Amino acid sequence: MKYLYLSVFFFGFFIRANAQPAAPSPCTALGTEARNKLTVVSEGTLNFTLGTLNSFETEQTYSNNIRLNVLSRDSKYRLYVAAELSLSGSPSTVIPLNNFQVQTALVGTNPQNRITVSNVTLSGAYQQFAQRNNATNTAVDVFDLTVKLSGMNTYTQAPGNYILKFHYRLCHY
Amino acid sequence: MKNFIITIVFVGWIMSFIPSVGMAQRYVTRSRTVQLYQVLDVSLSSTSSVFDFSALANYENGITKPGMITATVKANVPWKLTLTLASNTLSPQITPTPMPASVIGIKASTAATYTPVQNNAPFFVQNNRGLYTVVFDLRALPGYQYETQEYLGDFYFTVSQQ
Repeated sequence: MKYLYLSVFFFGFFIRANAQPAAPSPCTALGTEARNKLTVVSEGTLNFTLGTLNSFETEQTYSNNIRLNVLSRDSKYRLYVAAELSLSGSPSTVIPLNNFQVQTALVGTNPQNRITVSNVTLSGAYQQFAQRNNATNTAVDVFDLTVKLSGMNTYTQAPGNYILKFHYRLCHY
Repeated sequence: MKNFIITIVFVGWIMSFIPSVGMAQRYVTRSRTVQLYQVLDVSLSSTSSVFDFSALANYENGITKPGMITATVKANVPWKLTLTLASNTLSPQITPTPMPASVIGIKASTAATYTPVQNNAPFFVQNNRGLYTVVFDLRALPGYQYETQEYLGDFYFTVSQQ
């Protein structure tokens, strides 16, 4: 019987460890990790704090909140982002994910005409925010992401700490 | 059967690591904390602040002012909006016929009956978290027992957490 418990535990762990949104399509993974990788190189504000009435009333902008590097030497690629939100304790009202917007900026001197970036409203499913139509060379592509939060002037979310988890995904196509 | 279960556990254990290795550099998660603090705010607007008793019918029936006060409440906790007074008696208080504030009644415009304004049993409305516009109707019904005078009263609306 104890083995049954163990198997449930390990499969539960397996599912938990890989809890992420369904992969976009197409999403292949060509080449080695050394030649194709997505890296978070720096992070800005880690806490989005709404502590005054004005911060609920106006859009909050967290500029260049996260910087991503992409090396994709074996194929053209697309970048995707998805999110999930939770409230520690017993959540009663969550912040709608579509209150968050991600704006993407391409940084550096990589070929601008090969790369397309777009702004997305967050959801639980992966959404494309960057695309490059050829492979990179040894230099990485650098993206800065700005996060915006609006729509909080309904006051329907309870006070507390909400965890907003971003999922980033590099896909070859 | 026992060996089969052991095999299942072993395979599951191995598989739990394989994707995290394979995806490590193509799938990244990062978390942010969104901290919401408690918010309680009320603002008022008023169409008028005067009850003008210039006709006999005013004394007979009182004066009713529908929508005289509008309160906008912003609260992310269940809230209670309470009306209190500087004094239970309107100014001037030193007069042969002091006028109690309770000659004025108030109700939410959606309610049926007026509540006399007084500190002993303050009028209040309450609701769950959110953004609300609450419209109040007021009525003054003093009758004939007060001498000619201009009477003043300060009303305080206070929003608090339930």
